[in-house]
Amino acid sequence: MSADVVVTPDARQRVRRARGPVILVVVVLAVSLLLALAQSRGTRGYLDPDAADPRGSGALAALLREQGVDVVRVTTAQQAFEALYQADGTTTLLIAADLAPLSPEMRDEALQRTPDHVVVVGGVPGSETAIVGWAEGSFGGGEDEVPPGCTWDIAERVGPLVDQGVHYTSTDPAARICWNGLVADRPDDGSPGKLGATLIGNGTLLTNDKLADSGNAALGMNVLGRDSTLVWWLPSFNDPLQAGSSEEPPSVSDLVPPWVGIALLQIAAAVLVVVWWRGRRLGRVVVEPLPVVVRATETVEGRARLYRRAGARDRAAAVLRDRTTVRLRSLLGLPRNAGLDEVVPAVVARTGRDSSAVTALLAPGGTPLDDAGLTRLADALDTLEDEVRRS
Amino acid sequence: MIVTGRAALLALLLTAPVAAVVRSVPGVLAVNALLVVVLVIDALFAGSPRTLRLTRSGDTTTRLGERAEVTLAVRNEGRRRVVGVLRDAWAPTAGVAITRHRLDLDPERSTRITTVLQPVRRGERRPDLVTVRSLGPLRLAGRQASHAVPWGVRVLPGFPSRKHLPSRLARLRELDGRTAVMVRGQGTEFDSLREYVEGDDVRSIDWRATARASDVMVRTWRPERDRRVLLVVDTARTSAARVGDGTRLDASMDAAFLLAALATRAGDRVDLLAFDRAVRADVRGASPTDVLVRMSEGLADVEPMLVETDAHAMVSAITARMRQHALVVLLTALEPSALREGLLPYLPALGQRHTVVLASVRDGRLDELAASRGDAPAVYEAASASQAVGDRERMTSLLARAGVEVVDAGPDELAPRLADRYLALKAAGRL
Repeated sequence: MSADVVVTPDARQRVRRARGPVILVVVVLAVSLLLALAQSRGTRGYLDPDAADPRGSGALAALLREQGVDVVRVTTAQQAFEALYQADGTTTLLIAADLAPLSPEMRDEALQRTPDHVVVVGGVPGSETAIVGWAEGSFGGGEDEVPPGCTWDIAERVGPLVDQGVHYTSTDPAARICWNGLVADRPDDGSPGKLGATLIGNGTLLTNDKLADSGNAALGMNVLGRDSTLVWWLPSFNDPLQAGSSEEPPSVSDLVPPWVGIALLQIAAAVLVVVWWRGRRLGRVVVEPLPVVVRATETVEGRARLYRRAGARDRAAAVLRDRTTVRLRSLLGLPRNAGLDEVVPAVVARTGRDSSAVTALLAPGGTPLDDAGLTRLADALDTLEDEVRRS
Repeated sequence: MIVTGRAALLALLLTAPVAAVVRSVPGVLAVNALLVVVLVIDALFAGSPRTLRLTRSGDTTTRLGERAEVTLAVRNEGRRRVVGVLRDAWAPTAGVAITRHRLDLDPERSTRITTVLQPVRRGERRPDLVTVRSLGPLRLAGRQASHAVPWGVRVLPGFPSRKHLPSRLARLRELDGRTAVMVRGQGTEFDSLREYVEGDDVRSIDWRATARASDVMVRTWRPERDRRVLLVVDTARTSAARVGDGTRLDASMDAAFLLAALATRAGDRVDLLAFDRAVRADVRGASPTDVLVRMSEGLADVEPMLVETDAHAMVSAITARMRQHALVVLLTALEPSALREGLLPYLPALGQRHTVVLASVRDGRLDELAASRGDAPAVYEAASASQAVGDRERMTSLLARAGVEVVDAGPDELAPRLADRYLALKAAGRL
């Protein structure tokens, strides 16, 4: 009879044992989540109205919101259209045109319902001019502030600006070119192919770190704060209407029927169950300490390899001759200390071999020149011993 | 909680309906959540493997090469029926063929599971955990728990040379005077006169007694009795060598058992000492009836140690035990280097007080290697082995000069050869 103790922990013990590690994992997850949140807040990038970093535009968006403007951040043409469609009152559409090129499809999608004002923020010559259709742009400008130099009420209110960025020119008489072309404005008069818009040749004027310089803030507030809703469009390369995206060849996932994915998901679940099934052993692995066992002839074999590597034919030959001589002594009935001068005549008498040949075979010296010679010597010694044994 | 292959099969079979009917990712998740719920419920309805009460009974000792049976009584003290598998795990060398047993126990019922052990190694063999896996009514999932139910089966060393005992006992009886023999030396003493029977040596006829009696009388002689024999088993590094099927230590123990059995029958007192750097087993003053049992138990746990023999301590232990003249049998290895560094310097002194026999298990592989021929590697091996054989022969003659008898034989031969040497010594009265 013997005691019976259950060693598998029960549910309560398992919970108690797992508590420490679980708490640790939860703490690590919580800390990393907090860190991720703290880092990610508002840092989404250039001209982003939610971004608080120097290249973002969170400050301007906040100022506009204080003024009662509803700022809506969108990233696709579809969203831009929806935001404009759903907005109450007047609308302004800001297009951050230097984030990604606008395909004609994107432009047409967003402008299905024409907003009251369009502001294109540029920085890449050509990108914004294609949108509006009445201006040309090129890099220019310097470090110094310049006066507006045009007749536009907003420009007069803003005052001097640093004119670094894209400079616009236009042959259209309706276009107003201010600050040497840094800002161009053309009211919408319904002429075909010409979109009434304000072009700003340098997006950094509206970013957080430059907002306090010159008249940047005033420019932003005046241009973007004209309507009750501001749709802030950050175009992206991932837009479904982006040029080229619809021309890709169909992928494998487009070709297989939809139920294949579902079936694969269920098979994956079945594999998990198989892992669960096979993963638990019926009791632990039994371990057993075993006593040490050594091969008895290990040292002998090791020494043989050493002889061979060292090419110790002299040593090997001497040992083989010595052993044969010892056995011959007992075969011939000679005393143990009998020398070769007694052994050789006795062998000659028994076998009738030539005395000098037997001496050459048994006497020390006469080392074989190669391994084949050593093998022949061993065979010759065996033959001699056999002859003596048989005689 | 565990699941069975059936659960995996069910999950796989769900693929067809899921692909045909459900056809949405949330649907698949819902189906599998339902499957998990079913598995959990099935596991909850399984009988608890924790409420089983397990007790062992059965054999506690056996001899190497023989069987032992250990019975596990299982009683279900829970409220539900327990259906599933029970695994009674033992270490591999316990030689348990069947460790998994089906289990089907209603509440308050018992069953007995018998495990048959056929140990392949001596020493204490203990079971590992008993694990019970209990399945739910749907056989989809279940619960599992392991119980520690301690037990121990002591496996005594084997005695394969027992088969040589009858022939050696017959020769002992020849010596013993129950048959009239001519041999008589200083170790024999006059036993009795008895009537001549056919087959007795005519040279043992006592003519004077014959003249007095009306019949032909013969003299019988018997060897001296009540001599002391000390068996010293060396358990140091040289005993770990594998010779034949087992280690050198196994063969040494076998030889020790045969000699002890024989010497006990011959009326001598046998002691045993297993030694490397300290005493590993010590049998002293055992009565003739229990000396073999005590030797078996003493040697059951002894394993070779990877240390060099402490010859000085060993000889001190021998002299401390044997104040009077005795036969000291050293069961060690005829390993020239180990002996030269170890026992050799002490043997002449020991040989003056006692009759010393050194019994060594010879490795037949050495002689095979010494005779190998054919190509260069074989000849180098032959040279190396011949060197070793020569060293052993030189050591043997060195030992003979020190007054030590040497028995050098293969693992199967050592026990009978040592018994023969003992009988020869006894006949010569050198005990």
